[in-house]
Amino acid sequence: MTTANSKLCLNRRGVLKGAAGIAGISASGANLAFAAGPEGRKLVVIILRGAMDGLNVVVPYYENRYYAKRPNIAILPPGEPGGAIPLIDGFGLHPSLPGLAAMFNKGEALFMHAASAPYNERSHFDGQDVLENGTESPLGTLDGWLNRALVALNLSPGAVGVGQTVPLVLKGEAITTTWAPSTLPEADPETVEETLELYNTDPVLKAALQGAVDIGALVGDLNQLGVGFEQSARAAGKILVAEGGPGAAAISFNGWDTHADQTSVLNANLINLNNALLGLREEMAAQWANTAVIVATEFGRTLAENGTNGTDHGVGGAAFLMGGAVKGGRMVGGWPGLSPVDLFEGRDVFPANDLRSLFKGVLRDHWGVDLSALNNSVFPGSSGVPPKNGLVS
Amino acid sequence: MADLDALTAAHRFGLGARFGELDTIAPDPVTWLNAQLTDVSSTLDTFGLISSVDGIKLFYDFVAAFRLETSTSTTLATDKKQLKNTVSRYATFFESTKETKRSEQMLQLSKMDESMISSIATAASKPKAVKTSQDIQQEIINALFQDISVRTLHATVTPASFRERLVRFWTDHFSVDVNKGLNVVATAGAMEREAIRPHVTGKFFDMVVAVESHQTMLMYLDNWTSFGPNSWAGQQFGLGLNENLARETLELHTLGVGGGYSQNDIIEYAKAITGWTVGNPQINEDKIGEFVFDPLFHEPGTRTIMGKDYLDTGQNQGLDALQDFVRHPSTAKHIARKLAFHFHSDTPPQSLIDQLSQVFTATDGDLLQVSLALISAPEMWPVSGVGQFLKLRNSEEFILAMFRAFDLQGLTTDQVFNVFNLLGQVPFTADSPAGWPDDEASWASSSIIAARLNLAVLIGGLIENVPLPPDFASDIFGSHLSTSSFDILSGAFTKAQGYALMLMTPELQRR
Repeated sequence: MTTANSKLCLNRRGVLKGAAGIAGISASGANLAFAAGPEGRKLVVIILRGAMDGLNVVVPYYENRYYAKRPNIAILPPGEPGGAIPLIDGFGLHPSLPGLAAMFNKGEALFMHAASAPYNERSHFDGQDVLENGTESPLGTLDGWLNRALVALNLSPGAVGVGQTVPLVLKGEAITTTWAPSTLPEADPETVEETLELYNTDPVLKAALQGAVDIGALVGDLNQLGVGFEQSARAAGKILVAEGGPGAAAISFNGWDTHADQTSVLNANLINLNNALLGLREEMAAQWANTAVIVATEFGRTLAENGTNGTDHGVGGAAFLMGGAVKGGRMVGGWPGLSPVDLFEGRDVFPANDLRSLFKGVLRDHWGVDLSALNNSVFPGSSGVPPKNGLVS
Repeated sequence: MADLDALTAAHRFGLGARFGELDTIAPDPVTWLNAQLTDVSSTLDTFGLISSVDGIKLFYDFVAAFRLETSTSTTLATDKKQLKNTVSRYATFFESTKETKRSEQMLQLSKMDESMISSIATAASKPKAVKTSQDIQQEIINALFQDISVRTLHATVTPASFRERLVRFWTDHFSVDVNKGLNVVATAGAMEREAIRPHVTGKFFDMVVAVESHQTMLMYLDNWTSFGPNSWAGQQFGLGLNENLARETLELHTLGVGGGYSQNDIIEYAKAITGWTVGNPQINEDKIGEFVFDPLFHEPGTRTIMGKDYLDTGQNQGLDALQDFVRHPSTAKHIARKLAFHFHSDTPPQSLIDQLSQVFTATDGDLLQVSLALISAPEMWPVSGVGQFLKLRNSEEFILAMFRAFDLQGLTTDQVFNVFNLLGQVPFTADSPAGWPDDEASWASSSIIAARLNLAVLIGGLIENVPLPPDFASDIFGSHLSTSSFDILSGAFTKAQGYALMLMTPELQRR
């Protein structure tokens, strides 16, 4: 038995694109059974993994202590070279986020500072689990709050995750689909059909492959978009606004753990994020008025810079809410300030705002999830954390 | 039902059948499995792979080159004469760890992407008088790729595929992620060879000690720069504790979440293992890259962990606590549950978990006995056909089952890497110290299954000189290839399509 390994050409640039297969199956072969959002309202959840530094993104430039504690890495006040873009009330936005600032000025974006999932232990893994499972403990549930919201509204399959595996926030009972850019040639349509036949006895594998076929039927081959932050956001946008597209999408962006050389690392990430948010807005233009986008991270970072021109794991961070449906142009939630007595354990921004209040406010007012479901099934045991009012119109 | 038992042995315990292998196994599947635990004749060929000590030396070569190339570190004392007293030697080390972190960050930015892969070949072909940091970085990454390629080839051809599955199980139990930094890239493969493989059928305690004191784990979970606040170094330089390794030792490696320890126990144990570090050019030039216990990092005093006092016996203080963690009833349950979840299904029978846990406790964590108990557990042996093979293969298992079935030995190092990368599971890159997800919901995603199909079509087109697809599948899956799958393979338009479909059957996707 021999195999012709010499013919195996798997290097990315060596792969020729074949005829569109999974993505090219005609609509007749597809299920097209995505549940749209309630009244066509779209929800995007973007998770910034690694703990984005809230203080250098939504900059409290009026606080002297911010500059005192960050002599090397602080973002200068508006008007200075490389200074923050002014927002409101002494806060400014990192200069690499002009697109987001423009949305703020149009009333399409708002910021919640001093925000955190109900978790203060500063471990990325546990922090992300709590952020996504919607409980107060890393192992509180093994499924995610966005999936449970889909269940509460009976929207299944109702969401797409951009990435190779299903993120925790989307795991659960409601069927979700994932899309990831592929550098392989697509399988030919006949083989896709035959594989679906093979799975008549295996509903889980059938649903997974069918999901890929459905996405292909909705939007065709998205691989020409390429790989990256912005490309993922654009893919999500195309899938959401397609006729018959799902109501929700989840996207993860990694790389926010800026322990060292924060200025250049964060700057590069924010340029990508800015382009991703603008790309998403552009792709979703037709539905933008019905769209809300949550951008959240597991926790914030220390007020003081460390010895390697970076910051370490903290607690209170910053979250964004944007979209045509958002009542933006403002900051929401309390701001505890940066004086020593107001910090959490003397080092971090105090987590004055529970991120669940933001999530619950959006789910109630954008999607109409009722309060009892929010308190009991979507965010179990969260009746003490009421939804934030008036986030969306 | 010897035929079914052979299938179980090859696919549920092993890494999938090679062509003709079921016939070999069928006479006595249990003996076939048992023998793999005592006969170690099928060993990894480690020729050309680097040890962790050599990996770390390369890493420090990288740091030195990086320092020369950047102007930011001119304040660092590099003159040996300046390093003559203890304080200056340690001060220089602490400064250099900051640089290490900075260089780690550089690596994180580039990650393991295609630009890195393509640059390896060019770097290797250009010998230079003085290696740049970029050259050394590529040398280190190339060594990792070699490691991945060699362990993959071994898993492809070995007749002892159950033993190789166990290696992967334990490597994942003590997962490290090379994206942490170049020092972990340089040593991740070595940790499996040095700390996991020698103990797969030994005592769990010995494996735990080998891992927790291994340079890779000490660097991955930051213990190499964790300092007792009241130690000499802590006092001299105002340095403190890092709880990472202590937390994951308790939460992931031994007792498990909810195993009966508190946050305070984590802190106390973290103090007990301060001083477990890695030899470096500044402090211990003669031990670069080796495990070192440095008493000047070690928090003095008795530690109380889960109600028990541990006297300050230096390095042994942490070992004593570790011994008690391994003997704690929570550890037996945690390991038993993980084994059952991995080898049986996402919903393993409680009786199987209880049996494994009992053997673990009764034998003081003897992994040979625990593995034998897994083989002898009736719950592991389905009494009827393929519908009982419930566990979805993760991407590495899928790839290895494919490589074994078709004897795919000739892939280049880059191709092996790319196959793993395309299916989302490059070895040593799980992004959590908890390792790769082991549940169906994580792997049955649309993008993963679609990627498997795209890869299967590519591979199917390369297969030559083997029996026709339905006959080939009958060899790999025995008589338990379902009628519907057999019919679909028989109706394939081309042989290539048939082989692709065989790779996508539920019979191969599950085990």
